[in-house]
Amino acid sequence: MNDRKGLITANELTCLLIGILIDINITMTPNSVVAISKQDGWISMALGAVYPLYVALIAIYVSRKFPNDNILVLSKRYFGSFIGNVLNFLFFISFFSYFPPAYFNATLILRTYIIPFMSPFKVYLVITLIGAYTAYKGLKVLARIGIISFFLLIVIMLVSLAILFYGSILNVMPIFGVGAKDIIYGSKNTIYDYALFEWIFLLYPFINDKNKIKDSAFKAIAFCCFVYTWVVFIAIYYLGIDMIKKTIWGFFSATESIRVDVITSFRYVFVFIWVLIALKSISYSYYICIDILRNINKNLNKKLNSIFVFIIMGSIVIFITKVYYPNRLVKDEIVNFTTKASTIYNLFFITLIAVIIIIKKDDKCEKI
Amino acid sequence: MKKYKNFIFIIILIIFVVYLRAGEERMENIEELEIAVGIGYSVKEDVGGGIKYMLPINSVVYQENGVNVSTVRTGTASTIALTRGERQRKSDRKFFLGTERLYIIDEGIGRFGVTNTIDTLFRNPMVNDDGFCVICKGKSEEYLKYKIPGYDTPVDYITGMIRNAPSYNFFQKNYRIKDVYLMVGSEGRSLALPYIELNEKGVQITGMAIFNKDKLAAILDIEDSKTMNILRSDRGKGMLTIQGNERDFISYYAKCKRKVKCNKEGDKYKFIIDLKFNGDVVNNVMYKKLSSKVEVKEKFEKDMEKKIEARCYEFIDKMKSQHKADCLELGRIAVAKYGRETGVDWDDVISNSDIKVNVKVKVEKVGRGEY
Amino acid sequence: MNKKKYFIIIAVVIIYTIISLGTEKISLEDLGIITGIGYDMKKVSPTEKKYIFPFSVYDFETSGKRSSHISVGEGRNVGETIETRQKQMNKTILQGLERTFVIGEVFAENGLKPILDERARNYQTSDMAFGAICKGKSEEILGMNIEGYGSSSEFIAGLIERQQGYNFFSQNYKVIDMLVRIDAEGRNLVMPYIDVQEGKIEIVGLAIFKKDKMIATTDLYTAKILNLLREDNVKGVLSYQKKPKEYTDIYVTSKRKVKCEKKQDKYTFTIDLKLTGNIASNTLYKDILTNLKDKEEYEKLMSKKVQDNCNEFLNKMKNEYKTDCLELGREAAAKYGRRKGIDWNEIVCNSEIKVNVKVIVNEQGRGDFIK
Repeated sequence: MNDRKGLITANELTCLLIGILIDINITMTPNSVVAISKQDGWISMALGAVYPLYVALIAIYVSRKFPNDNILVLSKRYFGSFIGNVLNFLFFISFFSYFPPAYFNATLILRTYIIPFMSPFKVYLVITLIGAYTAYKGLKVLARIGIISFFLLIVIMLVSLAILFYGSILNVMPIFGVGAKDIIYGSKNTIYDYALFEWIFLLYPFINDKNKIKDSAFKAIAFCCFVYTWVVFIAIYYLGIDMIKKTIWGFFSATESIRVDVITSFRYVFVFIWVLIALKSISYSYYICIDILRNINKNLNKKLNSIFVFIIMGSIVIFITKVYYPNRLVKDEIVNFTTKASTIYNLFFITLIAVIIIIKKDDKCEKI
Repeated sequence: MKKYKNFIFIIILIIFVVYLRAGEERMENIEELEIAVGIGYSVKEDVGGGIKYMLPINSVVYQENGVNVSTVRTGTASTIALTRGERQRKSDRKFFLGTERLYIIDEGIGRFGVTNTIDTLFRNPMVNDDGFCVICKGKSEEYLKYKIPGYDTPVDYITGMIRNAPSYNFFQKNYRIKDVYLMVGSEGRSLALPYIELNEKGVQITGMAIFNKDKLAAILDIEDSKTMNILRSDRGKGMLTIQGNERDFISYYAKCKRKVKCNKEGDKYKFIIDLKFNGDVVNNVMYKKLSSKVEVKEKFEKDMEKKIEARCYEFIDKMKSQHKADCLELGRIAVAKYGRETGVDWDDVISNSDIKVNVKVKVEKVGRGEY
Repeated sequence: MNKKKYFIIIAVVIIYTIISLGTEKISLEDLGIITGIGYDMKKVSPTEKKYIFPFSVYDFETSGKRSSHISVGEGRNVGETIETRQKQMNKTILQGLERTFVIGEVFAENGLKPILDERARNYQTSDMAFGAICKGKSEEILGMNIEGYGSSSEFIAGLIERQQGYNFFSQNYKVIDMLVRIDAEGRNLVMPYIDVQEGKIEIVGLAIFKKDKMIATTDLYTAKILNLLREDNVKGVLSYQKKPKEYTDIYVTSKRKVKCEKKQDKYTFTIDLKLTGNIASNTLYKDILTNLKDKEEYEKLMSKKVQDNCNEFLNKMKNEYKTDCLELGREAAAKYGRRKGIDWNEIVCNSEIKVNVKVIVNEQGRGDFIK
């Protein structure tokens, strides 16, 4: 993972951030939001962007003060090596908690729609190898993959415009009929989708033009907010909330309605694209987890450069996924808990650092 | 070691691929497969008061020489999924799902309730959501076994019928299984599907089957079906005729647009359905000088409006008193205005609501001349 | 350089001629290619048995159409049947391409030893042919004319091969499996049992053997349980049904593990069945999609039902069949030693057999309609 020369451009940063926010779970987003907000779920989805917005604002402030230090270095600097590392390790755990669900989701969709005959373990193995190898190649490669995923997402969005022909605006009405209280309350179901934007705290030291951090962050959030809102909207538009509740992957079922005479089934085109997006998310997860661990202890740096670390981490993830996430319902319960815990911790962590920086403004900030 | 790196990598890759494919069933050639084209659903009374589901499946074996063999195999069992095993024990080919084009549900299952059928299809990701869905008179097996000259399987013929039906009788294009899910599952919506019969002339669409939730409520003849389609759908095309006596009649082929307004006064709902017809007179031996005199044309338009209104009201009365189901999907409009999941039983509400119909007829062309 | 070439060519020609000297060549039209073999027996008198072995032989017509006819050989022993058959035939028999062998009931009840011996010795026969026991006479089944097939053996071979994946059937019904299971210690043979219903050949159950004699046939329902207890990694549908309309079906893959314990002279066997799969159909539980409790309740009820069915079968096996048709003896022999002259059938039927069934729902398809 030789990143010394690998500075990323502003566009690459944007795509990396979009990549970490949007993964194959987007096919399930309508289902989680519609539960409380019903036909106004798309409004809740848009409101949920507040969370990454907050993270972005804090990140912009911190990056302006310390443009070359990521948050892990800062935490060690302000809190000392020991407490800093503890905080960093908890940060790692909170990222890691999203790892097994990502595995599980991707595998479940693949196995349900295309390859029902493969055992889950085999799919985990393939995902691990591809994801780990990609992450091993470094940030620049991940950035390029991010750009490709970005364009794939645009393709999906454009094609999904066709669903407008099949649904009915009646399904989305009455707009605001659910009441403002429920709409806002429903936004809390969007946390899983907008999570992990905190990665920006590890990325901003690598951008080549520090002035563009603000632009990148806002562009990423705007794009993701638009995509998510559109996905929920179009799913409600075509399926209606009653049907969304009956499905597991609402957006996926909505895209199955598209009929073009030439192509017998759009499903395989879509699943192919989703597979690539899922692999991207997995490789990002690998990179982040190992990156955080690297930063915790510089001595491990040398050892961690080898591919064996990825294999070990892969084995751990597969083990955890197999044992603790055996099926969707258990996974949902665990994820509900870990998402809340992880979000609270992340917000606490980044706010803490920002506050400390404000307080100690005059002290050590000349250290570059 | 470095020289052999690629070599070792390839070996590991091969072992890996073999591991992945090991133990799985072998892939078949297309000539060895039975490819399902049509699935029928029936129920049969069982000894001891139970019910057995019968699923005749029409499949085609595509052979190299171009002669395609169409077979119908039926599985009979106490649940739909168990019929798979029952069917396979009579078949010597591997069964392939995913390209079926027709689902024939017979009256028996309609009265029994279609939830089981729909649930099994809905859950299965391999099912082709674009297949057409129809209700048939009698047993579905007869239709799948019926041989039509010039067609490999009757399924091709029947799907062609449904696909081309929207040109007349105000039939819609949403009789596919994916539409059925939405019609049965959404609040304020109801299911209506074409009804086919098999008689000496062959297979024909003879009306529509309307459902109350998941059970068959009534089968409408073609005239009532036309009226219902006009009132139910936003757009449609069809022929309307006024028949004076034996020799006098006028036929009008029109496109219809529907708009519905919904109001609530206290606990009572009021619906206003505006229908706009726009079309051509295709045959006229009743109104003399229709194409030259504006008054005659306007008289025809008024007469037509009255006739359509009368038919609509007649049908709506029948719907409210006999069928007691919201087969016009008015509930959907009310839900969009007054909120969802409020616990309202829309069939009940609509049967007791006030429904008004306003019809406007416009004649665009009257052809090249008059005889 | 040229000399070398010529030398090689000449050498090849000479070697070829030498080798082909003394071998007879027969043209294709003189070959009788066997596609299926039948085994029947008739008891002429209490002491005398007559063997009837029909061969299904391909006819090659100049039009290219494939058909077959039956050549029957009768006799008091195998050798005689071969001779009598050859007397009728105008061709030389080519073995090795047969797809099926069908054994008539009566023959099976008398013991398969004669066939085994012949198959084992005959180096020309195909070990991969599929076999079945038929009700009645194999001559009738092999002689059946099925449209689209050259001979009924093709159909039967496909029929048996394709049961894999349904009703928990495996593919272990070839000659080689038969040979292995009859004589090896602790092993036991079951074969598919076919019959002609309404003019079509179908699988109606399993035939259970004790050593090489058939002792019972089962219906499909019992066959499913037998397969489940006996085979590993097989697939089929299980159903938990409360009412005709309310049921939940699951399509499972099985994992079977057998543990064997011996206390003094008494054996205990524990069969652990882990059945994982996805729900094919659900109209019983309103919330099985999202509610963990519903899912677990279903898993428990389904497991118990299968377990009860298994125990019911075990009773039957111990009391009626008195045979170790689950091949438990094999596990015991592997653990406690072989060739001790133990009659495993006896031991297993007097031992305690416990079955633990665990049903695990892995996936649920695309969604659940019943909500």
